[in-house]
Amino acid sequence: MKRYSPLRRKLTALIAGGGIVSALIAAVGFSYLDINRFWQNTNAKVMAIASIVADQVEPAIALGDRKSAADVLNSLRADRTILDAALYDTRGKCFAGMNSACPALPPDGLHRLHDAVVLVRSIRSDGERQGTLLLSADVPSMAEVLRQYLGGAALIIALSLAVAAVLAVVLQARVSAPILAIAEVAERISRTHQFQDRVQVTSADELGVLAESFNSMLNEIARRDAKLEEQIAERQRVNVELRSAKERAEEAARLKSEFLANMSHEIRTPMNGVAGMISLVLDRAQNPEDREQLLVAQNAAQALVTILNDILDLSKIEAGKMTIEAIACDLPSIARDCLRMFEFAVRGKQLDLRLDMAPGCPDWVRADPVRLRQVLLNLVGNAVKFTAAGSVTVSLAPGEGDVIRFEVRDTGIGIAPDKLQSIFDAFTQADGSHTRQFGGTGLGLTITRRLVDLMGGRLWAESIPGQGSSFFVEVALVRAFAPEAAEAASPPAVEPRRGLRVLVAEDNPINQKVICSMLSRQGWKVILAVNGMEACRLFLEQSFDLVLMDVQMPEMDGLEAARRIREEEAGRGMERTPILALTAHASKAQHQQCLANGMDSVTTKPVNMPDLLREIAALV
Amino acid sequence: MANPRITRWTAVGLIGFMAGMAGGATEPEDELKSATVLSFVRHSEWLQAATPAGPITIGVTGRPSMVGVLRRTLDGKTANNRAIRIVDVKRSGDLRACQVLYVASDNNNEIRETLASMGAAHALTIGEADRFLEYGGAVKLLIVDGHMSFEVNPAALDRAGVSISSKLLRYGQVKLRPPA
Repeated sequence: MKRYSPLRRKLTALIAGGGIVSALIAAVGFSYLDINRFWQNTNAKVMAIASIVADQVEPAIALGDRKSAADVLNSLRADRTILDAALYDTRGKCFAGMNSACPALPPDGLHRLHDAVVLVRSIRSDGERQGTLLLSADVPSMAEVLRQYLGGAALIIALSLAVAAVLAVVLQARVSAPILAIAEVAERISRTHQFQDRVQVTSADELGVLAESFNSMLNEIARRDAKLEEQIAERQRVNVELRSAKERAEEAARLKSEFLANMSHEIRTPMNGVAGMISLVLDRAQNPEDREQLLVAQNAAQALVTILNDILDLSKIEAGKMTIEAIACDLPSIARDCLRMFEFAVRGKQLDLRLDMAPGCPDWVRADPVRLRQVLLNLVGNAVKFTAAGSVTVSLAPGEGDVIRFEVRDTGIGIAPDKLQSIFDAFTQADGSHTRQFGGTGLGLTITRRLVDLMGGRLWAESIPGQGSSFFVEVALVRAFAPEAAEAASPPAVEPRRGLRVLVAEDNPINQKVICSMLSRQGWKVILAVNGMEACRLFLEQSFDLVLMDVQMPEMDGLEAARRIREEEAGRGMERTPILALTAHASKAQHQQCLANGMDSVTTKPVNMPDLLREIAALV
Repeated sequence: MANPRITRWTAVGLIGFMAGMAGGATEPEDELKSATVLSFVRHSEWLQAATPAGPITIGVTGRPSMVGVLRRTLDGKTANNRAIRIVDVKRSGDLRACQVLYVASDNNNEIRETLASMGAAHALTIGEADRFLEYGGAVKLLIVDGHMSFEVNPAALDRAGVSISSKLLRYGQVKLRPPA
């Protein structure tokens, strides 16, 4: 930061400095001019004196009158500037001199020495040289003249300083004080932010204009501040309203999604019960007519569950709760399973359903098998649905890097070009009449696209109306090694043991009924607990061969109950009893959480009998 | 110890006596006189009527040696841009053609005759004899303290119609009343 230096001091220094410099310049300049003038005058004077003296002493030389000549020369002593005068005869010998001795005779002419002028001139009579006259005159040196003038300069400097001091006092009153007043107000405003402060205008000059301008600037700032505050207040009000509206909208959307999810969940559980019961009755129905009716009811129930699952999935995706796993999975196996699902439908329509795996496609990749299967099922399901005759081909081909391209090509009704994009929007089908003709909610492709987005891939469609459509999925799937236990993954076709004692922990009455019926039909003894707490109690009171543990239960959930059972077992030195988890969530994370809490295996709801029996057989 | 001034005067008196004995001055003295004559010629002005154009003629009478000295020292010189001519009056006898007459003689009769023969001629007369001014001469040369000096008779100058510059006159003495 620059050191503070008052204006008064600067102006005083300027005036004093100017005076001093002017005085010095004047002293040097006048000295120079004076010395020049002095030289000129001295030259002229010496020449005039020499002329007179030469004229006077000329006869003396002819007469040989040295004394008279010396008298003439001595008369020059009256002039104090004349330092020396001497007369020489025609041979250059000293004839007479003002001083005792004649100086050495220089050549004719005017000689300028350091502090003297020496004139040497001939003395002539009728053009004939009679002798030589030498005159030497004193000229003050530059330093001497300068010394004289510096005396004057010192006086001028003293006067300049005095004037500067007086002017400084005047400036303080006339200039510095008003400026300082403005500075003081500016500093006070910057400290207090009180823009009502004003400078008092005292003079009608530039400083007065400055003060007025400063005041008008303050007025302008105050006006702007007021305007800005108004604008800010207005914006804050609008912001509050907008935030409130946004929160209301978000809350409404969340409530809607929550309502939809809750409703779907609430409907799905009884629907699972319906489907489970139908499958129990169907298992024992012998009358063909009864069986056909029961099959229709089962299909209807299954269709309803599918719709509910779609709605739940979309809700999860929109809520950002859908997570994509990356575990090693068998790609060809997933594809084949998907195609197998449609064998019955294809056979009915007499379609050609093919799987075409290009060379170079990896067998094992890291992916979310559930969601990948869901994507393929949706695409193949659509293709089969909208193809009356011809073929449906599923192709898998490797792309650049780890990218795998799935293509589902059909020879169906096709899609109009202007509909190719909108078919991926929720609740949209290419043609409204399709819903009536082909059924479906229009959520399939929306969910598919969202799932592909979540996998970091892309989904698009190409189609020629009347000739067929192709749906492409490109997604990067890192190659993986086949898990060592993969061989054992195939379901063993074993018959479960007879006479098992099974503890079922399930809070939902319908699920209780379905599961208990399935197990009882096997001739096993089933004990029911309605929550984890009861399950723990019953487990300790009785002995069981197997525990089926629902994960989500009131009072104590399945995870906590399983952990306690394992603790009790360890504490009492009991034999380990297999625990099979029942969960509505098929995620890998939940699966691992169940295993971490001491459970042995996991099966997902809705429960179907063959799967359940297979899992139990593997454990017991 | 002897007084130097007395010694000097003694020497000058001795030289004068020896010169008189020899019938005239020594050569260096004559040369000084010759230079003085030249100075007079150069610082004098003649009436216009008395000075016809042409050289300035200096007539000489008396010691023949002085004629020689004057001729040697002044021949070829100029005064006021006029050549100087030396004339031996005894031989030419024409005094009236002279602008200057130098009488190199101590013989009073000769001086008187010579000056008388000049009559009203406009000539500057210069002599060496003690009584030269008394006989009507205009300028008398004399040696003072080893250098030339002179005495001037203004009346004679008026008669001759000659004026001498004050520059020169200040080195001599003006005798307003020549001794009778």
